[in-house]
Amino acid sequence: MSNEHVGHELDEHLERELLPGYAAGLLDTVRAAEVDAHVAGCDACAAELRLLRRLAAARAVVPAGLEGRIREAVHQELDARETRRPAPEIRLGRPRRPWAWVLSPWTGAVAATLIAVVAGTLALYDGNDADDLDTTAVVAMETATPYGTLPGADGELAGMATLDDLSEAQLEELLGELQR
Amino acid sequence: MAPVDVPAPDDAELVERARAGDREALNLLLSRHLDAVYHTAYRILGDRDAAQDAAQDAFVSAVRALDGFRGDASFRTWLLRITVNAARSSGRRAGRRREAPLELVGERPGSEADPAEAAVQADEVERVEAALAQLPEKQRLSVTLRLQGLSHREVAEATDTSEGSARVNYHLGIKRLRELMQ
Repeated sequence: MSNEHVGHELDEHLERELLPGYAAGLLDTVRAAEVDAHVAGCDACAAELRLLRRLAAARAVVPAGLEGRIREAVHQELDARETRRPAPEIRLGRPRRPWAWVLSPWTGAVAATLIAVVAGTLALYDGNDADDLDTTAVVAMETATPYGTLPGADGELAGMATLDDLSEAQLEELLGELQR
Repeated sequence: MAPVDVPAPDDAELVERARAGDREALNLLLSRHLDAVYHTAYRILGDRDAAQDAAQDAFVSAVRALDGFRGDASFRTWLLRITVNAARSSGRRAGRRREAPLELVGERPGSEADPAEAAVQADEVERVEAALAQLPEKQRLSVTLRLQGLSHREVAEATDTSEGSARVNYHLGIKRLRELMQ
């Protein structure tokens, strides 16, 4: 598969990712124009967009007065927090000796732990080389996009057709495997 | 001199200001996200009154937890996750189950316009609500949250599931809605 083809597929997948935000009117004009151009030549996306627009148009409307009611509840919570907050502690008596921590019984234990951790890390580093890199992590990094890591981009899992091509039964089976 | 357009502060800035005790910043966050919070709670509970209570619980919980918000996810995703939890808890407490069709909401945009047009719109809303009510909660939530502009990964974070599951739930939901709303 050529790089150009892969790039085209990725663009198409990204535009499909944007369909719900587009239907809800959340995209900026540049992105919206890109999606428009894609939808004009893609029947599947056009059909999905029509459905998403119907869903977006049926949003539940925030009842009048709810914002004021919640604002009041939130401010009451803040008032309560402020009264619960303890006053700054004022130390009385002679000042602490700044070097007192040196004599603490914890100091020795902390120092011993640090030495053991450093020694262990150095020993592990000696046994590793570049070939031991976790390739899964590298692949995940490479497929990360501003819209999240795409497992083979939108709706496409490795080695499979897109999710759109699967029947409901196949999708349910896949969901079961993902949740196992 | 022409007035200079000051860009609206982003959520991260408002969160910082709210943490420092700026109540106006908190009010702005509330105004900005109330619609998404209420709509999400309504889609889970299917009841206006219960959705209002859950939305209030979600904002109060968010204020309590604001100091612990690390910014790993966006504020909106974090808040919607709190909303999902608040609505689910509320539903459990009330013993509500979303098997029954969603209640039809009286207040709709444009309901005061031409009566014939309003009736057509009410029919359409009823059809959409009925179709959504037939979806399992996870599918309904995946579709609802994608329509709030969340990516599949953010939906997964908000609903405490994997990205793959969120993606499949969305596709299953869309497939079934397509059949139900033909």
